[in-house]
Amino acid sequence: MNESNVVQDVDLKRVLEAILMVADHPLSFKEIRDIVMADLSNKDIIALIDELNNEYAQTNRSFCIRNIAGGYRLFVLDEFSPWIRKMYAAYKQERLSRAALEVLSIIAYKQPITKIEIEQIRGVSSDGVIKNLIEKDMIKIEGRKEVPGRPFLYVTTKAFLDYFGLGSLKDLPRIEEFDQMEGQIAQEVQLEIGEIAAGNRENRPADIESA
Amino acid sequence: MSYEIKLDIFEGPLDLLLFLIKKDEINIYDIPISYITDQYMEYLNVMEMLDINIAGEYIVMAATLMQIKSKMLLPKPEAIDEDIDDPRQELVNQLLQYEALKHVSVRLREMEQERQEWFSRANMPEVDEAFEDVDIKLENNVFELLTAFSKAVKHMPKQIVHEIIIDEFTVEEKIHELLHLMVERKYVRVNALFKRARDRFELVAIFLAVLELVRLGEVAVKQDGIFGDIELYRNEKVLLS
Repeated sequence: MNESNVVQDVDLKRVLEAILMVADHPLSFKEIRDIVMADLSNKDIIALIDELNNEYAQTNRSFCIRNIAGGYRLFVLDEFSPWIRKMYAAYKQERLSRAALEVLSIIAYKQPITKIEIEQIRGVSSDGVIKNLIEKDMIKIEGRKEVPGRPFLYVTTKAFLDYFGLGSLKDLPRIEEFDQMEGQIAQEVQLEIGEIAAGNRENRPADIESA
Repeated sequence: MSYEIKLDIFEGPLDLLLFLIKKDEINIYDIPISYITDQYMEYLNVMEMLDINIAGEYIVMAATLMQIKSKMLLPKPEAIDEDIDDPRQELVNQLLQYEALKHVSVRLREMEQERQEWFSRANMPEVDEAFEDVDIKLENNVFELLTAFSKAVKHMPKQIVHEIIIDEFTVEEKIHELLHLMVERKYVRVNALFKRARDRFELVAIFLAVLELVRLGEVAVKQDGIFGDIELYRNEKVLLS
């Protein structure tokens, strides 16, 4: 950003702050651009958000902007959550079951993946868990694998990213053992479904990938 | 017989095996298969004693363990590399993979917890209802539509369909017709009667009507010689009385 843009930058920054303040969902780069109606690159937006976050930190504000589920959203800082909880006493905390976490882990790291492949890794049938996760909007069916029986392929959703506080799938923790395993076992799977996977990736909403 | 259990303690046979391995600090790359099989069976027995149904997968694993055990007992051909030949290899891979998965799950659990400390505008009611409210925005995805449709189908009240078969020809009707005929004529040939039938059902109805009338004594039957025409006559006595 050069000198001549400074005045405009300040305004845009305030506009950005205003819309983030009111938004009830994470705003994607595209949404921000459409609302702000300015020729901002993703980098420009990230720079503005960083500036805002710095201001908040310096002035001891109780909130910050976080990158989550392919967008940006204003959150209260963790340290204030006890008060928020008190305000919403009726709010019940959800916890996913262990089985659900296992299935989600597999899908998150190996998507798109079929039910049988999931069950091979877990060693138990996972019908009910998968159904449950679909109902909770954590996963969805995206295409079929071109093998006999044409089984469904499962992928994670935006709601999944939001639930675990992830900006995009790239923010999934890198876990060495799991990555290694990806090398060994998933390789053949990857080869088989390489084409489908590539197709599916292209179809996925752009803001998940680009975030 | 259906095995439908949910053991809270173990997520499956791999989980149980890993637990046994960890418990005795066994080297996962060199599992004493005979020992671990015994341990595994012991746990299954305990589960059975506690009246916990054992899922099919646990039994499959028991069979796998015994198969590996028996393979281990076979003498190895010397020439072949031990690594490739080890019958435990596949199981070990599976266990390592499952162990890695467990690490990831634990990390996700932590992330779940951390995320629940982040609050945002309008976040509360949304999170609160998110799990009950299945009214999800549909993206342009055929499968989501399919999911919604299958849900709708499931929740639709079952329609009970009753099938009613219309009796086109009834015996009563035929008796009536026959009696009318008998009033007009002195006698009726059975063959002629049958010839009027348009299908097998009507034929049966006519035949039953004739039998019924004969039984009731309304008509008399007369046949002229073997294979001759059968004729029906009014039974005057009955009709008059």
